[in-house]
Amino acid sequence: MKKLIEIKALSFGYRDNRVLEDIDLDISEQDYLLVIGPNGGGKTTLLKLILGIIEPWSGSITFNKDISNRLGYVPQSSNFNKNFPITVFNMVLTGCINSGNFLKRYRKEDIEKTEKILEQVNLYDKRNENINNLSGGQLQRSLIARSLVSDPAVLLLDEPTASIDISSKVNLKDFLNQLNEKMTIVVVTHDLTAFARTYTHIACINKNLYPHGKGELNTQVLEKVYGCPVELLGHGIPHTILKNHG
Amino acid sequence: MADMLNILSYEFIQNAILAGLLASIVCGLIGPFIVARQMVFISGGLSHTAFGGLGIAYWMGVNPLYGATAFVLLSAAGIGFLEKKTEKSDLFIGILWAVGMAIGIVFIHLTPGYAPDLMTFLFGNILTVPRSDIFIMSILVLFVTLSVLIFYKGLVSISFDEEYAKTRKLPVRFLHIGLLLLIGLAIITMIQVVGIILVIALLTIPVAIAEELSINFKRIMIISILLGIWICWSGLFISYYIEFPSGASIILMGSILLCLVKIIKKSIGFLQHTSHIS
Repeated sequence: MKKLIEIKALSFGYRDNRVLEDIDLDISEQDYLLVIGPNGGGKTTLLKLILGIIEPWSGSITFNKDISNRLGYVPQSSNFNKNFPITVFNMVLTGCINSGNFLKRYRKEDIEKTEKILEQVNLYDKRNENINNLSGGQLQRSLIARSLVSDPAVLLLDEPTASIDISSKVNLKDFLNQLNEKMTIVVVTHDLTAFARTYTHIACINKNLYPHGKGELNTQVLEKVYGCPVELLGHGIPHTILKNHG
Repeated sequence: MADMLNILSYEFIQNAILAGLLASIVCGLIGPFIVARQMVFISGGLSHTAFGGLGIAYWMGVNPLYGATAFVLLSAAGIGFLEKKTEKSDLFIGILWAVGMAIGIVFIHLTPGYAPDLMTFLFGNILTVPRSDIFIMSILVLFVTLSVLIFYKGLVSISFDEEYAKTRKLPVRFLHIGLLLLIGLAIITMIQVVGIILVIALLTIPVAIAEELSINFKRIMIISILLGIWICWSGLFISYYIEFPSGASIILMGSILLCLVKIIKKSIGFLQHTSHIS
């Protein structure tokens, strides 16, 4: 598989507090990567570094020339201005904006593409509603739709299951599986159960990064990452239940 | 009716009508961004720094509007550059707010004689806006309007989701500082209509009403402009006929309208809810 993103010796921190240290990670075509780890372990920070929202202290992130401008981002639903008066259609349409066209009017193709993707995520009927009126699952789909209108090669999602119910989680999992046939998926999450049996790789992160292939995850690995006892429940789904946080 | 037509023939009334119209256009174009980006405190700080420029210009014997413009734009740029370097930007804005006022007071004190015009700038008097200032206001409104039209997509993008705008490689910092400068120009346009102290109300009340009536950002802008015109003109005629202070009349008209819209909307919601239950 073609390597799309190559991260080498990456370090970053806030003020004097080093959050990520010496991170090496390769992300390739068709990968479905889960990034897990404790709060403050640097999961979201890694995502922001890949997206160029923040600059690393040291190290490098190299993109395959075919995808340098084709990263799709689905933020946590708490990261944007939920009180902003905007319809679902207009919100998804903002995904077409980039540095090269933000001074120009939307093209006819942008509008058609937005309508098509709203149909794809089953939100066409909601297109004229305020985003405030959407349920957690619908809002999540509208955010994914916004990132899809820019035709991404890699889709990066930050805690996509944080505020949605169980049936929406199942739908999200199925939808991401479909998308993974066409693009690389990177998910930062606490919720391993929602993505069970779907991912191709797991990266455990807590300042340092521990990459694993499918099926390599076990109690010892998780305890090392979380820094406290961890219990994996049965039925083939690795739950991360912390026995005690002491 | 004849009385009304007679009033409209006065040049000071014509100027007041034009000033109200111009102020309403900028409040409708910029106000929605201030509310969406929660920049009300920054805008309040900027309007009060204008007083420092007014005081210095008055002491130097030049048009106070020039001094206010220079002070507000410098403050806007200063806030824009310092915001990223310090996490205590609201502390900086609060200091700027007070220092601007203090400078103004000191320079008025240093200027010999009474300064009646400065009361106009503090509390606004739409009936005393001279034709020369209408010309300056028109240029400011033209500049603000063109800037908002050109940068509309980028400004909406950073107002809704700044982080996402960064991932799309938009010049977020440029757009934010640009918006601060536009807020500064909007404040200058409105100072003579409602005054430094009440400017923030005219920037936010029409938007608060418009948000009750629409969920579309462009429509909110248009409704805010129309509401601004109604509020300014009704305040103007109340001020003329019953000799109330014009700035306060305008803001009170806006506040009454806001209360009415809220009450009507709540009542409709309540009636719909009860009919649904029954």
